[in-house]
Amino acid sequence: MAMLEVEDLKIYYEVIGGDVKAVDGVYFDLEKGEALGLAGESGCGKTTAALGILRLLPSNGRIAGGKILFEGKDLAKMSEESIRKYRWKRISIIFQGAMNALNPVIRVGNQIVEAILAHENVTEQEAWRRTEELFEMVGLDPERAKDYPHELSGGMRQRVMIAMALACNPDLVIADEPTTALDVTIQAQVLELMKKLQKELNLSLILITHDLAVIAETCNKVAIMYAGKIAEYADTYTIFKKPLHPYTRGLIKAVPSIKGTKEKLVAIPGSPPDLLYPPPGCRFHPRCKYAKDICKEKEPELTEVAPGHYASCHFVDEMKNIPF
Amino acid sequence: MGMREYLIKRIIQGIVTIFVVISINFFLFRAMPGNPFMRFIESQPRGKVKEMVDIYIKLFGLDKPLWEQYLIYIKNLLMGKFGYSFRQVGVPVSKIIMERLPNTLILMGTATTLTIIIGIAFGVIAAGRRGELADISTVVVGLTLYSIPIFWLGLVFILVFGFWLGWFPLWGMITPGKYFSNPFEYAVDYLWHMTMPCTVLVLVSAGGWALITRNALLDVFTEDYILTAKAKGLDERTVFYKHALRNAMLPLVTMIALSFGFIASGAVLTETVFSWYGIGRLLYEGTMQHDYPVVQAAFFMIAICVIAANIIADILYAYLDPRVKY
Repeated sequence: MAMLEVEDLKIYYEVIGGDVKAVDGVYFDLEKGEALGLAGESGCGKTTAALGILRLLPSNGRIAGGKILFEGKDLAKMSEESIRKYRWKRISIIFQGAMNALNPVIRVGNQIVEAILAHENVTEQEAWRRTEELFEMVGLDPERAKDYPHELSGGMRQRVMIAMALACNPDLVIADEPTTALDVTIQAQVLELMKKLQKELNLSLILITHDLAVIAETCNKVAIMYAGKIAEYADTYTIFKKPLHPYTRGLIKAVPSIKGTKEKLVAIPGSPPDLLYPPPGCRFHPRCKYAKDICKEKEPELTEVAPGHYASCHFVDEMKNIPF
Repeated sequence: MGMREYLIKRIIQGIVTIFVVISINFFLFRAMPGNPFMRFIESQPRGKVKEMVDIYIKLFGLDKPLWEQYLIYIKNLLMGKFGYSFRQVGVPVSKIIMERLPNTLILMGTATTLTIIIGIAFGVIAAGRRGELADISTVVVGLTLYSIPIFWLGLVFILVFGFWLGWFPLWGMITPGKYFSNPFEYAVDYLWHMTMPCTVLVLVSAGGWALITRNALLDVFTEDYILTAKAKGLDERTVFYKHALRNAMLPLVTMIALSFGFIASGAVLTETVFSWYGIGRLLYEGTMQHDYPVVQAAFFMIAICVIAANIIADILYAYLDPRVKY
């Protein structure tokens, strides 16, 4: 049994006019020490899935079905009281905008100390010592722990977030677009740091991003999400070298490659569907150049096409013959 | 720039502002139609009217050109002289104001404190139970109270609780002709008279405070750092009080300091409706009677209080919000 098993997870947001099916049947699993990339366009449900694991959904969101098994225990059905013990102690999360993810009126060190004191039976002094160690671990001067968030640069704030995420020695860290708000050189540094810490601490990592290059560098396996569903799921090499789902192929072709000489970038035409009224059949069919009648009527299932390689497309077998 | 320089800069700004305020006051009241002594003269025996008016105009220096009057006024002000009332001849303005000020400070101080406490408490409750009955009723009642004209509510209170039910006195601050054997009895009678005007003031203003507090909190709830706090596994109380309320209170602190600055200005409408012998009613009477020195002095005092409150608000804000730099 894997450490984390997400099975047929469904998360709906209640809005006027019905339910937005932001996550609608998502599967993935994660072993200890493994890094999973969760990729897809904006609004495909990546962040919702992440928030759902920790049950941090906004008040109009609910887990409408499925299981989130963490060491065999279903987080989806746990009481608020019990899930709180998992938050940060076992599973921590790094948010996108480190700018706003830290409380502006509390010293950054105190924000980490607070997390430690909430879960560990230690004195405040010990928590401060731990905080200083964490600062050194992420390459920050421990003195800066006494600063307020606005006194730190964007990159430093994200390092603080990483230090905070590691405060209680969690087993799993979910990083939601951890580098998006940073400029490119800082992005590289922060990613390097995350990779290093993940290896050293044998952490499990779920990395959520729309940046495939980041995933290619960091993750062991990748789940490509489209309109609330898993389009394709495999190890990183397979996803990048032998993708089968037309959406995965489009996504990879839409990213420039440094090695690829003068290869033309191909955008995926159209835009993601309205998840309040998703299209019938395969949700990708309106944008898919291979779509046939069956795609408009029947929803494809996520099937294992090769060991460990899953795709949800009616024409996976045909796709094998169409060179990527 | 350090705290000291900032403070000095703000005080200089404040002095300039006060100077502008008193200058505007001076010319504003003199631009009003009518003559300060008309009503006064009307009560005199016929025949001597013209002579009396001339005597008084000369006595108070109103025959001099406006710019000269202004210079004299500024000079006297700098020497701490506020002059004499036009209406109560011979009575210094400072005495009139000092007589009224305690009544206003007691009424407004109590009302403002209660308003803020009650308003913020309801706002916090409403935000904590968003969408529930407590929230919806706070918003509906708050908006209703906020839209009620205060003089109307005052008159309704006088009619219902004063006249029909007879629970509270209709007007004034002390039962006329009553003998008090000790200061405590006096205080009880005073507070009994104050109950209605104070309640009306609190009701009308607390609604606005509740709505503002609620909105400030709801804004903060959507911030990412609240999500971080929840993700850290903190319990709801800690998230609410330590992370949300503290940030939501920042804009409110400025408003609290400012409303205490306005305490000295009294409540013109409420004091008039309830015949409360305070600064608000003095302003009303002084304006109606063209009593320039009284109104000018009252405005001068109010300006100082408001400007001082502003400076205090800025300092408090800078102390509470580490992002604010001088």
